[in-house]
Amino acid sequence: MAEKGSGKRFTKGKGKVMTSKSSPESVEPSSPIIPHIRCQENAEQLPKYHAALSRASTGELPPDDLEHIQAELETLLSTVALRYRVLKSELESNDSRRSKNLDRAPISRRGGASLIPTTVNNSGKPRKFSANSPLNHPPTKISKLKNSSASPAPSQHTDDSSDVSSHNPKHIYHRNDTPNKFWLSIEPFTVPISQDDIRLLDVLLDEYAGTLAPQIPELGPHYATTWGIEDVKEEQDTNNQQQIVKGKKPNGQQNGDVMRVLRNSKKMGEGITGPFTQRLVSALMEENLINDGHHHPTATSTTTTTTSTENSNSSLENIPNNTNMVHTRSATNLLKNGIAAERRIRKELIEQGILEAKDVTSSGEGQEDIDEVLTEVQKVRSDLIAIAESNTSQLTTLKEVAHNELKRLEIKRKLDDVDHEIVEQTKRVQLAKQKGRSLSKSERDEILRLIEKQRKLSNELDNLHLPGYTTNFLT
Amino acid sequence: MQGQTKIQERLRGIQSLIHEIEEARNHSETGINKLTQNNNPSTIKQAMQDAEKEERLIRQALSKIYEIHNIRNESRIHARNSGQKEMLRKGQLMKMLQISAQTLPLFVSKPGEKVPQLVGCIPANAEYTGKAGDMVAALTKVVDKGSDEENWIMAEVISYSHHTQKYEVHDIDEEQKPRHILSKRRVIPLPLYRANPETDIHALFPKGTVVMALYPQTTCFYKAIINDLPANAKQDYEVLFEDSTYANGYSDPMYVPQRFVISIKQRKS
Repeated sequence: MAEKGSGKRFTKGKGKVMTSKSSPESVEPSSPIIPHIRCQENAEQLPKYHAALSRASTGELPPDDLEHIQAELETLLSTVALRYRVLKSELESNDSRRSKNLDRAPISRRGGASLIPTTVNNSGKPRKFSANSPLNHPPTKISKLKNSSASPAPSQHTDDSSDVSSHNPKHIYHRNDTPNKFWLSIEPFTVPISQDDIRLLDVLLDEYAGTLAPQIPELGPHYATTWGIEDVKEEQDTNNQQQIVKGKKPNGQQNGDVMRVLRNSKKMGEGITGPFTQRLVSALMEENLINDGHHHPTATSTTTTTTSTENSNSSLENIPNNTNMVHTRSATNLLKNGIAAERRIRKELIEQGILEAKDVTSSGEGQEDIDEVLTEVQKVRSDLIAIAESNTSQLTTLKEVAHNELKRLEIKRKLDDVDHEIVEQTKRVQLAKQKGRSLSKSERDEILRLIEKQRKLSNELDNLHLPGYTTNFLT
Repeated sequence: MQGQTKIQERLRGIQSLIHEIEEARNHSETGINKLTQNNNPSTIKQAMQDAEKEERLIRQALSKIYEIHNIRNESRIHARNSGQKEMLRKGQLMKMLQISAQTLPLFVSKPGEKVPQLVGCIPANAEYTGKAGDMVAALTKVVDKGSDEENWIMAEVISYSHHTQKYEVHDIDEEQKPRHILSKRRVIPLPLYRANPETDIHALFPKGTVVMALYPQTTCFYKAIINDLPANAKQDYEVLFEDSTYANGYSDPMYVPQRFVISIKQRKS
């Protein structure tokens, strides 16, 4: 019974370290075995205990040794407790032998020192048994147990001592849970793919379905109105406060003008005037607002440059300088003349020698909008487009791979089912064999069908490209 | 950390006790050698005294080791209560269970001492209630495909309410529904001590007893029959699980540590 125990697969079980020992040469037939582990055998029987002894008594036990030390100390405790019991019964039996008849003593006290192997067990037990009678263990059972624990001792301790050393490495436990944390963090990336993942990919793909990057707005209304209005509003807010203090005549009028001009410029923006004109207009308005005066250097300088530009010029000049009357006219003027205004201005500038003809032609008609900001915007935009294109292609590849993986999982699931069925069948076959019953034809057919199905699915699985093999989409 | 310094203090204590134990053992050995030549009562008495001293020192050292286990357990509970989630893989969990079973304190009775409750097979008294951190077997409903199956799972006591007579337990298998509120009769405390087969064999289940045992590599208790007892403190029970897939209705022998073998509870219904 107990011999089985020593050969078990316990990872923990180092087997029996405790030995019942007395020096063999001095054993008398009547003397009991005294449970004792010799100090000489420390290294062999109690390796960690032995190792601890080699350290100073003021040192500290390595925490990793704790489990082993515990086991070894427990062995020692068990041994010493047993020894005490043996000695006690020995003493009692000695007493009884002395005071009573030699023959009766061992019978009356079941723990007598008559038999070597049983003493160990008997000595402790009778007392225990009576003390713990409420436990209600039938005596028959106990006698069985006696035997079981009595027999192993001599046979076990030889192979067990070797167990001790061989099992030791297994007892180095990892106390930190870093590996657990790591694997938990990995887990989300290794779960099987689902329809949800595909849906997510679809949503992402949709985002790239339209234009890949935002369009660059044409020079014009966007800059002139949006930016202009923002600036103006800001100014207005501060100006309004001042008006209350100063009295509002000039500013009030002026602000009204500005808004109207802005509205006009918005109209103008609708394809009538060129971008430069619009920028000029907004620039003029800003100048005016900031300087708050009717005449200032910039305004006059524009006047000089634009004198020769007839109607359009007058309208431009009038916006800052004159009041409501002019600007109503300016809108219509611009409508009439604004279309070619820039071209004409440029032409005149060249005629007057202010602009070189080269500059105009080199910048050309088509490229007249190009400036530093625009080139920068275009550069960034082209980068954006490139990224978006790459993203789209990656997403498409990913989706394809995901679809394949789904297919693979489906086959794998089927294969698992078949595997499971086959295992069931195997069990049934084994059961049939045990009962000596031969298999019926339908059972055979079923098994063959399952195996064939398994093979088919397995082949199918092999023919699929596993996600691990299609790494090219990541490179 | 305070716990760490406490542990270090005890580790130092153990180290110095080991030296004392060795001294006592040397002393005992001389006495035993004398005994083999001359076993008159005075030498026996002397040897008994030596054994007593040796035993006392070993018990001191062991109690320090058990204290370390308690400190560690407390800090673990504390960590969990403060929201730090334990992250355990299944394998890791199994290993932890195994270690916890191995390091469960060993009860070695003194001569004439009555074995208290929760040592080996001795069940808890009716009024006993587990404290936080104790391991229990808990009868829980399995919510799976509408089946009304009930399982004895391994769980840890979070708290016990005397008012409602209910336990709050935590399934040690994190994958399941972690918390359960269960009435007291659905909870069986696991032993707090291993019984020592060499001195207290009556505190082990006798062969042939029907018990509940933790099925190896799971966290569930199933009906089993004791096939063999551990021969010493380090060995496990050899049990046969009830298993209808085997021809004779029982599994092959499996080994379950003392900590995970409990007396069967009669199910109502």
